[in-house]
Amino acid sequence: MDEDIKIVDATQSVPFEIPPEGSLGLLALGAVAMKPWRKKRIECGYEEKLIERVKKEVEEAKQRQQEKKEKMEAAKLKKEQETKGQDG
Amino acid sequence: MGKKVLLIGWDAADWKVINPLMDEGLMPTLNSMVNEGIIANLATLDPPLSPILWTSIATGKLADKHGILGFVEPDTRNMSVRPVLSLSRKVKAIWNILTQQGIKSHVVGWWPSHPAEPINGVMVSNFYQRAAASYDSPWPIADGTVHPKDLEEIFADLRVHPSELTLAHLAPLFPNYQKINQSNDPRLAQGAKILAQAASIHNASTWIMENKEWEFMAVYHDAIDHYCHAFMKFHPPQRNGIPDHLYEVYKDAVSGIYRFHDMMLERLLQLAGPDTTVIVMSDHGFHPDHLRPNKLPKEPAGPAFEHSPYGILCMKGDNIQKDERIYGATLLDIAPTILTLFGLPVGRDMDGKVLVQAFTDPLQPTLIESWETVDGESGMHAADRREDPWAAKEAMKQLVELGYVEAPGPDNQKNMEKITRESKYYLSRVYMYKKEYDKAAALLEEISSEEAALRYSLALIRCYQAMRKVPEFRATLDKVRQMDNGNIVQIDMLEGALLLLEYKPRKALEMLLKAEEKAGHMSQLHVQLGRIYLRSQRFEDAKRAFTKALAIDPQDANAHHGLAISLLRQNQYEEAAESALNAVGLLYYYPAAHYTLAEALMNMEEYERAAEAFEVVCALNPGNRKAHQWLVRLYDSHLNSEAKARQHNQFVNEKIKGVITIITGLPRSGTSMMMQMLKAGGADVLTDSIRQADKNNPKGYWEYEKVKKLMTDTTWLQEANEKSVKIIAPLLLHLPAKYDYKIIFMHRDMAEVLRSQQIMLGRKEALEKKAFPIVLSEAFQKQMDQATAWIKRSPNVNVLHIDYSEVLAQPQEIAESLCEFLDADLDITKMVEAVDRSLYRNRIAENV
Repeated sequence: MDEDIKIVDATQSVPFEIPPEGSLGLLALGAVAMKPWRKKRIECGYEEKLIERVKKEVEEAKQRQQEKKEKMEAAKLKKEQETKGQDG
Repeated sequence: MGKKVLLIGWDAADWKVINPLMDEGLMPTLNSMVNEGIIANLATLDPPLSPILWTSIATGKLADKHGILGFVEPDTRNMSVRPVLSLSRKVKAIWNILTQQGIKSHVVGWWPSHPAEPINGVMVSNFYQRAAASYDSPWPIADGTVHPKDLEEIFADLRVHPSELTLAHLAPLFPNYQKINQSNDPRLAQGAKILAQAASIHNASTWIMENKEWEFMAVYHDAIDHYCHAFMKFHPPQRNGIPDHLYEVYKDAVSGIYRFHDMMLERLLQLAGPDTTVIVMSDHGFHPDHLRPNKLPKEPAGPAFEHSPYGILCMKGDNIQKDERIYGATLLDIAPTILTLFGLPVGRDMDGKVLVQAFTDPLQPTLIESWETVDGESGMHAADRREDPWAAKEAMKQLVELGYVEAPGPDNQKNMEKITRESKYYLSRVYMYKKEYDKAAALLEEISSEEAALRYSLALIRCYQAMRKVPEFRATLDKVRQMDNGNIVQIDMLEGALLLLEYKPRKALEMLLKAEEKAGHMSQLHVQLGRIYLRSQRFEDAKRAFTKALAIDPQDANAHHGLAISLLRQNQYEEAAESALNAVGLLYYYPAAHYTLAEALMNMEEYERAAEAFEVVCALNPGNRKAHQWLVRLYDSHLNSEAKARQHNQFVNEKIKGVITIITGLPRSGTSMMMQMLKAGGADVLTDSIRQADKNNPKGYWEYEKVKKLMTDTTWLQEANEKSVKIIAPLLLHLPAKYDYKIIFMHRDMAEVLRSQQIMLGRKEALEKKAFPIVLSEAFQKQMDQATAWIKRSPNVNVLHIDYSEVLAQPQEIAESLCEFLDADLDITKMVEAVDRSLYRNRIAENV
């Protein structure tokens, strides 16, 4: 694919400024718009931020999962202790 | 004719969503296609499960031939369950046939198409678009996803990861996204994931169209279906039980995804160019209105209950009609129509037909016995290919998330057995769709014996109903009652259907009216009620019932047809024709509705159009004697076409096996009275009046002299075709098997029969002693038993048993039962009037 491809706004006949955050219209153009959009993201530093955000989200998700696991284990332990208490 | 064909599949797209969007100018591209081409309701198949349906679309064949039987299949090598693969397809898809003919073909995302087949173009499988890991991790493309393999890297880069999408993409679909609490509501993320998958498929398709030569291109998108399953419950109008805050944030999701598809379509049309024939279609619809189910059954493929029976079809191209609607299209017609577009013959073994009405220049499709036996490289997989288990696992996960399949449990063996049973269930539904009820019942009986599942039993009941197996129906219904615990609303409806099978329309009516309390929201209930009213000639009640059904579901073809009949019988011919047209517009393969249309047109003195409609009846159901006979009359008397009249007359005489109605029983059991009733009702009876009325039968004997020679001569039976004739029970055994018989078997207390016979014979002594020869009674009983046994072993016989005393006590009910049994609109009032209670002179109770 030609990396220097320009997307033109057909209504204005002028090159279309690709927004780094993309748009539905751009997505609907298909393959031809993918590389210019990704290139733009890199140029604007948007891609870097995106990866940072994803990493953070992954970390947060892991943390949430860990907390959930701990909570479940704590609840299980508490139940076991209560059962023991009743037996005693 | 265009040499390029672009086939675009939008899973679950429905005109009921699209039309309002087009009206508002929100789907301009599809709207322009509609104006430039033809549209149709595309009737789905049963079961309406996407992998089965898309394979039928691609092959023109039903699932019993193509072999794809559900979302998942047992993986015997790994002793597990896997998503259904292209390896399981047993027949050639359209792209295999085109590859064989050297037509450059590309396929993207078709379900199921993994592993990608080595066709003469590019194939990107349905495992392509799913992101398996987070954006910062490697996202390798699964082996077998892309053919040819050297394009893998390019296609890997064309995939869109959900994390790449921003609010700029999502805000048009979720304008109130700020109100979504994403920490406990995953729906926005789910929407992003599906949108990213759609974008990936679109990127792959557009790349191929931009970079490769092509003549045939097929693209499949599942995003509409997935959005509908996730968000249709929030689609306007707001339903009861949907909280305001959720309605506000998700109400635009469905229309948003449709609009995005319209945008993608614009790009595809640009790339296709004006000379390409473009087909946009869906495999089924998706209820967007009050027909959205409140809850889904807890069974595999339960979400399919949200599907509606009509998908969309829009086609434009050089030789395609403009701004026209065509009727009677089904999914099976797509592959044969594409073959014709390329000038190729259609396989006789294909279940679909060419949509000839779509073309401007009349086309005469050519035929070939089968494409399966045509040699040459078709790009199908070698039988020993196997799939990538990693990719299969990801696809499986998505099916579980969508609710189409249950999460596989730890017990692989059990899972495999369950999946195998389920695929047999789907196959049984395919047989039911083909009206091969015996095959379906055999499968259902097998799986029901392994697992008592409500859906298996309900399907089995439908088979027994179609095969008129009353005891089996009863036994299965009893089982359903035990299983059900009062949860399903159809029990009373089924009981009503059973009573109808037993020719007890009045009792059936009572049962269905009772069912109305629980199942009044079901259009089928009102259709069933309407049909009973029609039989009882309560046409206003019938009209009301069918109108109710249509208020619930305006796309119920049976309700439109029922309404047409009720209007026809009330001499409202134009309205009747309109309703019949609505019925055939929704469901073209509906000979009875075409027949009603023809009747209405005949009454409007539109003879040519009536003949056309009768011709359709004959084409769809060549055995319909009445339609042929009407055509003989129309061509003879109104259309001045003797040759055509002769042709139909000849067909009836040579090809159609007639039905003879036999009135039987012992002598003096009420057979003459029954003949009188039928004659009074308007039935055609065969009698020669040789035996005159006398004091024993003051209204005549209604006999036919030749019947007495039945043991030695059956040639005269041809005269009885489509008529009613009286034959005493002992002679039934001599009826030849070449005809079909409807037997009305009259029963009367044996002592009453004997007494009446003695009186007739003038044996006063016996009467005075009230003693009849026991030998005679036993002999008669034996003859009755023999006749009953003959009926049981004769598949060409249908029987209705009627008690003489019941005719006298409840003539109206009996007359209604007779109409039901004979499937004829007889004059019930006159039938009732023909019953003369004063002739009941030898009642035992009164003489004891």
